[in-house]
Amino acid sequence: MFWLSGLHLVAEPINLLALIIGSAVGLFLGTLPGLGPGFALTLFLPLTFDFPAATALIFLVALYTAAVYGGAITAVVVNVPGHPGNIATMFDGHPMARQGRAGQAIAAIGVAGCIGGMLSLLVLIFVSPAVVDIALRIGPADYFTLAVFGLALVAATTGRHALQGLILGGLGFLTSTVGEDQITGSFRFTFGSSYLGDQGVSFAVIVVGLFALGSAFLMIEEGTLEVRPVDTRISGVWSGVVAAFRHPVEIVRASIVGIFMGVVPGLGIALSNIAAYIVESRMNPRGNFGQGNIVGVMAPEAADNATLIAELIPAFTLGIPGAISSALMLDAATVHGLQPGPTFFNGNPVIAAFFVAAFFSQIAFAAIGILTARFLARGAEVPTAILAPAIIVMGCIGAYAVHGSIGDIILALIFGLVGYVILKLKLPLAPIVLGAILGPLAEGNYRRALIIEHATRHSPFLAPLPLTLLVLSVAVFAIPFWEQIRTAARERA
Amino acid sequence: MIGYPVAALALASLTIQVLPLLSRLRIADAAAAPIRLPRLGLALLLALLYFALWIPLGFQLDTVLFLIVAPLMLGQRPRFIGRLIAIAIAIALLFVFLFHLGSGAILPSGFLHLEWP
Repeated sequence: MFWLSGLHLVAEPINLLALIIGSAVGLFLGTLPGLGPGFALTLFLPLTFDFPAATALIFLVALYTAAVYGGAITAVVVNVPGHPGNIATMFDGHPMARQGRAGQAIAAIGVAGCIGGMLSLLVLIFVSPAVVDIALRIGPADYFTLAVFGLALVAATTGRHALQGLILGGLGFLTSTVGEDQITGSFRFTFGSSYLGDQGVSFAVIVVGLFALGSAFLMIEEGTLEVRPVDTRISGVWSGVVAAFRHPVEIVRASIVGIFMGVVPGLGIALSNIAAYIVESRMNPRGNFGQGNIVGVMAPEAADNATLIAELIPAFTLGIPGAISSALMLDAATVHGLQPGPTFFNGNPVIAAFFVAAFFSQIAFAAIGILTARFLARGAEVPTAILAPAIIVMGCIGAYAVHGSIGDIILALIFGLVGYVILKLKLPLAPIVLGAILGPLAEGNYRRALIIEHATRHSPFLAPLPLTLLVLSVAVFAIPFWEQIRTAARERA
Repeated sequence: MIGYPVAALALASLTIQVLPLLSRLRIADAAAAPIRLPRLGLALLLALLYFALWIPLGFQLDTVLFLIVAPLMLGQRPRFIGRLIAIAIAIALLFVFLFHLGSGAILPSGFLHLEWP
């Protein structure tokens, strides 16, 4: 009855319209580099203050879920992530576009994201209290070792460039330490700059600089003005839809990774899409990952959408948002009269409508994506002479939008140059991003764990989970080097 | 104080990686050069130009002019100028619309506030 009342509310014409408009606007905003779901929600939340609660929440949840899909389209077509959560989508998405399979990739991403989001929604609806209970048991030592494990995975992502990958990961880690110290409040690496002291180096600015401006500089430097052929046949699009149903195991696995990353506060979609990509590329070592493997685009996007919905679990059931976008969704829910807490699912039809709309918004953005895939794929045909300046403009505006600060544009330009050098050296950009994400997580939690150790005279690192993660980290860290030694030995023989 | 040596170390590390690419410029012709310095210079110049004109022109006019001039500087044929102007105005209007939402009238004051020319 509870869900039927929600369905009844969503089926009202005005709410259906809100669902469709929210999906379309979110998808469009998501395609602009640097403007993700957080930006979309910040922009449109105040507009919904006068809406009826159900209409407002239906509009916002559609906006929230569709924005990440929009970013994936930019990642495939232009090789620039619309949002930090679309970084791994580029690894195989853009090679697919260059092979004339952009339509296939966009359609496959739509369906995979839809499935990931729906699975996460089922977890949110049926088992959220139990999941949250487990997530809350994760302490500072667990977080720290989880971050160390993630940093060890850097080596796994970079294959034969393992050492360079680790150096870049270290550079990313170092970047994250700029600004105010989380524990003591002292300033580090700020060079006396009040801008760096106040804001540090924003992760979003790093992503915009490295990926958007870096690739624009590379495009101009390489001076290629050719128009790449793009397959816009409808068969390409449908083969993408079919491909998603041919890889259910991979999509479910990626969704589980995404749900885990969403439920544990502080991990988020920037990490989940890379983690899902690593898992899939490791599970299929013979797959042509990085060269246009369709699983390589579906797994990150399934994980993204799963994380996006799963982030709402601690936000709604405990009032603990794990990311900015889920904090904004929580804000939207409270503004419109919903109270977060263990009794969140208390029979209010507006809550039911919210989740029913979240379910249907997955279908709506996938449908919009599939129907417009042929048109969107044409983005890959834009000549570099037009595309590169457009990326510079959007990159600078995207960086500015983070804090409304000119300093962010300067920082993005500096990171653009760094990104250009890294791309020119044909080294991967993902490690520097992973380092920047995991840096604060590792550092802050390590120091918290040490404080606990000092107070309790008992090392939290010796608990089963941290110890297991540390052993796994050593194993994962050693694998690429072990493979290199074996290859060298074989060549010598 | 520790920031300076760390920054120097990072710069030195990057320079060591890039130097072999640059050194090839001396022995190879321009087409085979791994880094085309004039093109890279042009890329940086364009980005700096866009940034430098942001405040004096205002972001809308800066964006429109940049999206017309930069493609021409990069070799786009002038006969597409009409299309370039249309794209430039469309992108600038889009961001004006988005930022106007956030300039204080609708969103909290100060969020995404732009300096209008």
